[in-house]
Amino acid sequence: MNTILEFDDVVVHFQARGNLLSTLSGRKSGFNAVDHVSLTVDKGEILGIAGESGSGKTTICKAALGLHSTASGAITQEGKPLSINNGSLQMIFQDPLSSLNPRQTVAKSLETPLKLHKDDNKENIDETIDKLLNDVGLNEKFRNRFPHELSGGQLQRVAIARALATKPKIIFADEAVSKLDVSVRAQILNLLKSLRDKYNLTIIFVTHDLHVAHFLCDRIAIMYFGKLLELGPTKEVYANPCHPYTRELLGTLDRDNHVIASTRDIFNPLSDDVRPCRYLNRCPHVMDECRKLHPDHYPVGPEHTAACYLFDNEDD
Amino acid sequence: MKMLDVKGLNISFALDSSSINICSDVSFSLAQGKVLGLIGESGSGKTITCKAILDLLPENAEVEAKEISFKGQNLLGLNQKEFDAMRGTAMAMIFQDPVGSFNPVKTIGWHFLHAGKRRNLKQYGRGRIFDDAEAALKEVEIANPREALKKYPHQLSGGMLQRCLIALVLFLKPSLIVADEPTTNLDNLVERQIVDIFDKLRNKIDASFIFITHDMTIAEQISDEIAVMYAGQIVEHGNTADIIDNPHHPYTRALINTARELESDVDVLTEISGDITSGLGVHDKCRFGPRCPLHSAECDKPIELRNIGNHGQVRCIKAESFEGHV
Repeated sequence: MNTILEFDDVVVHFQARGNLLSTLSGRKSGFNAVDHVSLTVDKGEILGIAGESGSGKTTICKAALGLHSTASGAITQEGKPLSINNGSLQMIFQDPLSSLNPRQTVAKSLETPLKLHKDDNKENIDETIDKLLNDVGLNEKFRNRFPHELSGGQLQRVAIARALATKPKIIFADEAVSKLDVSVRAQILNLLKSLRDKYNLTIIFVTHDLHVAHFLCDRIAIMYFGKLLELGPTKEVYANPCHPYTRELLGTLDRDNHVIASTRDIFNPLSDDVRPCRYLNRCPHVMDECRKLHPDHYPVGPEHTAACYLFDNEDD
Repeated sequence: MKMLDVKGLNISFALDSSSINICSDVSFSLAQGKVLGLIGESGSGKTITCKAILDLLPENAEVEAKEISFKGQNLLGLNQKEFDAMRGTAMAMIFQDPVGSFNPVKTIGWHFLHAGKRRNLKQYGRGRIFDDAEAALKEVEIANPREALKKYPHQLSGGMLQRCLIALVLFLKPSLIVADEPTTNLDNLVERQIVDIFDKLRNKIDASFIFITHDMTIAEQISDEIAVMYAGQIVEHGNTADIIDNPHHPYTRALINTARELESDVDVLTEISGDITSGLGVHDKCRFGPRCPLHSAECDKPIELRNIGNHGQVRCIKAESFEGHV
């Protein structure tokens, strides 16, 4: 497989405002929203990043787009450092209404990225706009509409068209269907899949909806408080979840048989020790090593790894 | 006993020169201790219907109904003061956004004291009210209720806050609880916790629930009956198992089909073309018509909600063509 995007030991640090006490005692006032994550993305695949809010799934995408700076580690595109200004990376946001300018028509919204990234003349731009609208299942009648005149599904289509305008290689879709109604969601999911096939796009799809991830994604990465806990082909992970967190998460899909550690404390990135395993407080399988150091990734299946000492079989 | 009986509810909003119809001919009843799942997408009128029952709509709303009765009492004739006495104590609403439901500069305990005034618990004093509050918080699986009462909303996570909000409503001991998408803004795990809590509560207390959601799988777990709304009308209403196993309206069928497909291995999802805007404000024909695979000329007339055998009610003249297969 050829790798299009590589995250190598990436750290994104958020500084929190400390108080006098924390300054005097030298306690840290900040945390790593993305904590030493290594991940490769193959050309043409749809990689799902799943996790609860605060897990760093959006932050890692924003780091790749240069919207957050990394504290350490490297993000490379096809072996070269990221170049964020050539339009080869694009993002689709969760809320289509607030990601479009309410005072610009659809055509104007699509025209801006075209002008910024290409030196086409006016006629070509008009043609391209029509083509983009057709690509996302709209037509030239929508050119002069304003965002408030469109429904949620149509707006998200326009947002996708705008992302496609610069002929990107990689699209980051941040919860792109979670604000949409159920009857419209299927349309957008099918659209993303067909666009991937048509343009050989690479899509990084951030979601907390496990059903949606199952349908759309070739591989899935499970994140928890900045750490990547499990990575593997979606079908394999769903059939054989290894990390205790993944098991708990995927267990919620089973209506009759699920166990949730509801009352246990979750990890608090500001006050808890960051060295032990993040999942320590909720995990039913805690061992001595877990309290010392967050585990590395261990292979658990074909192209499938989990960050858990349960799968450290080297001594056997 | 019938807890709630709604007949022929019409809601419109007055604009400058015209008015726009939001809900038309909404009728349902709810027995004591039962849970009604109200399903529909944004714009289908499910929240508006419930707000109309609790008289929470803004002033430009025009509410007309043949009957809205609660425990046999007609709500339509009540004045503002009489309604105030009932709201919160006899019927209560849990909103979608727990953060916005709490006063950010007051502790959780303050909210319980404030709500205690509603229940006329003033004579009990703080101690007794906090004891009751703790019991309610335990009910929703808050591990350390005494601590939680001292916390401010921003110190609690979204799931914790939603549970505190549910506890606050339980504390008031209403007999009708409307929960408006209480899990929509939450993560899978937390969503599952909240649904489990509701599932436990409905067997424990004898209140009736209206559970508004757009998620068919949640409605399936939690409700005794399901009413599906589309563009301001109830299009199908019946027992949960009946609706899930054998949906009769093409819209319900499509919703269930999409949920099923996401769980199974398919390459392309079956789409419902178009969106709900095509059905809004339509009066003289089927509102789902423009999106319906079965649509034909006969559908271009007002469609009534009708009983189908012992299945429940369906607003579709072609419902029988689905009989027996999902």
